[in-house]
Amino acid sequence: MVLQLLLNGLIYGSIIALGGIGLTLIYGILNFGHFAHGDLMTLGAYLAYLFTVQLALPLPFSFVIAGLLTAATANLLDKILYKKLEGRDSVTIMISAVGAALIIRNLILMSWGPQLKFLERGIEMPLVFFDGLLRITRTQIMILILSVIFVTAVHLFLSKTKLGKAMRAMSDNTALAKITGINTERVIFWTWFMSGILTSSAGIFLAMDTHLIPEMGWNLLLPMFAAVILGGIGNPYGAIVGGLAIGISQEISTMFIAASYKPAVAFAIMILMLLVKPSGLMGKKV
Amino acid sequence: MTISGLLSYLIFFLTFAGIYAIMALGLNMQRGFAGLFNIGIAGFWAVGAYTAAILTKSPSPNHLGGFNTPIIISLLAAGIFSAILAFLIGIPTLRLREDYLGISTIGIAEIIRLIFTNEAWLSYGVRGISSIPKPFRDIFGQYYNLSFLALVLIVIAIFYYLSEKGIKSPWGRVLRAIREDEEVAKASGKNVFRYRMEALVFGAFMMGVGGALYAHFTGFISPEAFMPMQTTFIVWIMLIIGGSANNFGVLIGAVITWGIWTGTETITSMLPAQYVTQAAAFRVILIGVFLEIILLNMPDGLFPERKFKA
Amino acid sequence: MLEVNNIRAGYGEIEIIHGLSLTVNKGEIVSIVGPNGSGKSTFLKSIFSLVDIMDGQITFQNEILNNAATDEMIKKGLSFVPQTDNIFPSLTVHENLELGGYISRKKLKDRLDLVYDLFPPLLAKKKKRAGTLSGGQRQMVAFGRALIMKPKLLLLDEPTAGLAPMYIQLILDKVKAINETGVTILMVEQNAKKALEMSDRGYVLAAGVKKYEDSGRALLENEEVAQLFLGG
Repeated sequence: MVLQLLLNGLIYGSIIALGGIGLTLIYGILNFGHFAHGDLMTLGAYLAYLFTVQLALPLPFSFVIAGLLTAATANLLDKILYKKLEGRDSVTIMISAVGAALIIRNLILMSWGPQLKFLERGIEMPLVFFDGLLRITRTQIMILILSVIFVTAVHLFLSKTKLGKAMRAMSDNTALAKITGINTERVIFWTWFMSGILTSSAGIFLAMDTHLIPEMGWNLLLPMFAAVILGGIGNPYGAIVGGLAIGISQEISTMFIAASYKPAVAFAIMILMLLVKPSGLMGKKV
Repeated sequence: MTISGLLSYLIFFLTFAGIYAIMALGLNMQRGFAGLFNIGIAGFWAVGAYTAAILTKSPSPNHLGGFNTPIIISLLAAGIFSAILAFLIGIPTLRLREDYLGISTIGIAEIIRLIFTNEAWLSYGVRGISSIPKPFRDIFGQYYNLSFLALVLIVIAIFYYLSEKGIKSPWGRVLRAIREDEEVAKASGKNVFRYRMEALVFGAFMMGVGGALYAHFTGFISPEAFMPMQTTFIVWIMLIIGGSANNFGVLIGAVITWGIWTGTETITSMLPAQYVTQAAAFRVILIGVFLEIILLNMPDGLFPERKFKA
Repeated sequence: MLEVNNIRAGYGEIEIIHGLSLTVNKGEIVSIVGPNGSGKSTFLKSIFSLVDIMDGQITFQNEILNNAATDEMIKKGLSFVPQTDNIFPSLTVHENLELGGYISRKKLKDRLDLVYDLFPPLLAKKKKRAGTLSGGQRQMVAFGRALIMKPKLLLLDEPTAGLAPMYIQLILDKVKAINETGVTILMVEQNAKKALEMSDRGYVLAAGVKKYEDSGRALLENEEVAQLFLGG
């Protein structure tokens, strides 16, 4: 039981973590909470549905194209909204992100309708371990492996490349990054791009593991924010740890409280964190 | 449409616009004057509505109730419960930057929705609470809607008066000073946390009362009826189009926004029935785009903040 | 090398610097001192276009510098070290220094060696997160990051602000050492006496205007300056 919940939490947590990395970098670099992040995730998942199911293209191909299109959407939002609102107070920018979220979600609702959709047809038989104590599907194994690959790639990018280091530097201290001559416009562009790819991937993983609905990403926004705050705003490694912690806590909580209150767990952890250590476990910005 | 039909539609329209205007006045207290980011308006609204419904109804086997409280008490209680909720959410967030409050209000709105959906003993779950008493119906008879509009207008007048009075007082000056520069206000010894909390709680009180009026007017509420983001968003548009930190502007903004919102419904309702989902989604997209255009091109709204003498 | 001519600068519509001129010659250490609120930091920032310039002209090596883009100024050989928040705390010491070479990676290795030579404590901590260092070491990281850019003129905004007393002299000695590698230095400094002692020339500001201008030694010996600005 615990083992199974841990596994479920790990999968769910990886999805939150992938989305959270972009959310926290945007937070650190542009200094606002991107409330449309969850809906970008939904967009990625539905685009994958469009290519894989409706156009019958191979999944890996759809995965990449959906990622690129979601990234392009993220960059578009920055170009036509957030960049233009630069210098206005952060609440204005955040409410415009809320508006963008509603627009994206309702575009999806208009295009694909409110019904549940599935990326894969048929029921997949899980592999059973420990006399039925642990069940895992091949899809779930793939999600876990790909998540590890993605996180490793992000780590290598952030720690080894000039652009990655510049991203972390900007997230640390934007004013100093400018004085140092870092090309901040370029960093911002690639931050949106990378966030788009990651959040789209997270959405597709979620769709593969469960199903698609237009609210899927919005429902993950709170857990993602909780992960970002838990790990310290602007800290991508914090978001990964935070995401896993939130994911696992939500699943384990079902041993003690009704499963329908699972979404409240992320909220409770977040509030607790705000009360105890608002700068997060690994961060410094408040 | 006959004159009387037109008139009764107008009354109906203004009543809803008025209830939304109350929410917008509440948001203006929080966002306009204190700079607070509340995107969980639907949560406060729902708490107010359910409080009123449960308090005023006669006993029902389906959910908590049977208190038969008079409407004036239910309105006050709705405001108070909503205010308590705001107080609780303010404790962990108001010392931190504005985003935390925003994120937390989304969370609280979601949890409230979960509670009213799952706790059937309290709220009859997704089936919602129906036959919520309509106050003074017996007295006013066919003029009931008109009398309800009058009630809404009275509530607006009271809140408008209190807001204006508050904001022109020394309290309001400090509040705006905090919004402009927290550090300076802190340095001059102001308890920033307390002022913010007062604005948050007062705003939430208005929202709770607005929720109660909504429950009484429609007679039916359910967790689905609130459409949290949509409701919240419409109130925000009212504030932004009218002019943040301008109570009069916000009232005008409420009427205009409600007009546009119901106007789009009139148009989309002409579409064949199978497009009903698409039409609803399309309406939200329209007001979403509308908001972005206003944000980009009219930063101060129709009625910018008035400059008060320092 | 640097010519500032009758500059007026500030934030938005608020003018803080009311017509200041200054010259820095190649190889010098020049200090700007003055009481709190005299506008000395704002003045330094105006040279690096970090505040709004309303009037006047800044030239560097005979080229106009007013409102130049940051990367342009760095390429021309200017580098600015802010007073606070002058490191990237979550990056390692080495990464902080590397980012100094963001614009040009040419000879990055040589520059890094030079910085580690100047600031030996950093070599031992190169893999540590900069945020974990002591105040003095952070300042060295900030200097190092600026030096990687191979500046001709280094602008230092109160390099000893907030440092423990034991570090103040150490950091000022480092400034001297940097100057000896051929970097011209213009700094704003709170410890006016110590700064003027090591400076070729100095400027005393008050309320956004220049009160005195002379060699460091002469300013130290000037009784008026001593009484009014150096605390007797």
